[in-house]
Amino acid sequence: MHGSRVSGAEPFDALFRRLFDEQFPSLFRYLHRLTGDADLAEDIAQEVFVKLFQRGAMPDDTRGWMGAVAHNLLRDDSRTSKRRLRLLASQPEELTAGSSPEFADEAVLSDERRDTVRAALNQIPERDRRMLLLRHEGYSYREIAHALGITETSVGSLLLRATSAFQTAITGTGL
Amino acid sequence: MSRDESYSLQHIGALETAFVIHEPGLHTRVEKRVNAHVAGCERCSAILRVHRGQDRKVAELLAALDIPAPATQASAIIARAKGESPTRVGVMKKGSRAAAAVAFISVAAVAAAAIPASPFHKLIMRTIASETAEQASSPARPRAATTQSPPPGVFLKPDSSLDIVFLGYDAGLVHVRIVDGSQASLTSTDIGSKYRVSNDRILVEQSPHATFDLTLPRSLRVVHIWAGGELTLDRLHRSLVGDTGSFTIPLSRAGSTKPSH
Repeated sequence: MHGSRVSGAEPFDALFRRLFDEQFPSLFRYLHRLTGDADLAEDIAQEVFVKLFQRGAMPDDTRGWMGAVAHNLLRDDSRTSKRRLRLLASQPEELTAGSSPEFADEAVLSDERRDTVRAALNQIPERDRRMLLLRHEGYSYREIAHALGITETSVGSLLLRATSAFQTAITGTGL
Repeated sequence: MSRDESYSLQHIGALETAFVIHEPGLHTRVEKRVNAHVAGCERCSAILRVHRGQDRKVAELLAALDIPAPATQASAIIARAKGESPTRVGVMKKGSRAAAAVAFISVAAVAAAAIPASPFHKLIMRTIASETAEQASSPARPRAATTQSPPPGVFLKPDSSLDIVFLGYDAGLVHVRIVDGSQASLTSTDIGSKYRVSNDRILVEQSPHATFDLTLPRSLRVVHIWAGGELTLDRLHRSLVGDTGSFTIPLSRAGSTKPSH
């Protein structure tokens, strides 16, 4: 398991809590990057950890297992396509006065950058997108293979292709 | 020449490059081979540098998508897993999209009014506010964005014009200060206010009775303040140059044409 040492003597409850603290932000970030929907990402990330706790034991490849479960949940979530479509058509989020002040020109640039990256990601095939995002979340080839249900030996070349596709999509956008 | 030495002389391939970049330390044999070769091959060293740079660039781009993770607690997930909490933990309340749609429509109406050729615009221009800057010598406060506890709001450096549109207007005040420098800001202690900004426009959805502090750089050539679809303040060209003080604008229909001092 990447980034988390499993101790045989450590009670499952304590191990789960430690893993949750370490991995929940990462899983949420991955799912948010993938779907563009914070609500959905939080839903799925929570559900993954609920399933992990209910499992009662850590899988051999915990992060690969979590990735695979998350993808299954995403597939099963009938709301996904509707929500993504709605997000694409929606207005940018408002800046709320309760949040930190922000220079407006920087905020606009940030929104443009986000939209451009999102558009580039949406241009590449779903599996390539997942692969690229998992890799940039620090997943190993083995974990990526497990999460995506492919062989470990194919990860390297597929990842190169995914990276190349993303770079092609982003080329010419000014980023 | 040994077999290993011969192997290390081969130029690195794409997959080896990917291994070294993607999984440092996990493929030690490949990594040793690549490092040994790159040490003596400028071509492959350059290729590796380019790939590493591209990898960093992709990471930076993807980070543009990120938002803070929700502060979910493991104990809440455990309770839910045990069936003690049947629903999703800490359901986020997203901003009301219906309200956003209403706001957008309001903005569209205001924007239409801003078209110089439109009759609506001409009607509004007749209600241009008369205002007189109150001479004052109070020193400008430090830039809010750089203080430790800045008031909530927005900050920007407009080019030459700025429109500020208040979408709610039952009551409330805007304290305006003309300052040196290039930065404009609109802040309020009202945490319910929402702002949308661009280089030349601030849209505000405020709750009733909100009070705002607005600072405007003296260098601005055009300033418009709209409240409830009416033009409350209209400054053109160099009319801010001579201003050194502050004045107050009520955010209500009754006060829309008579800023108080």
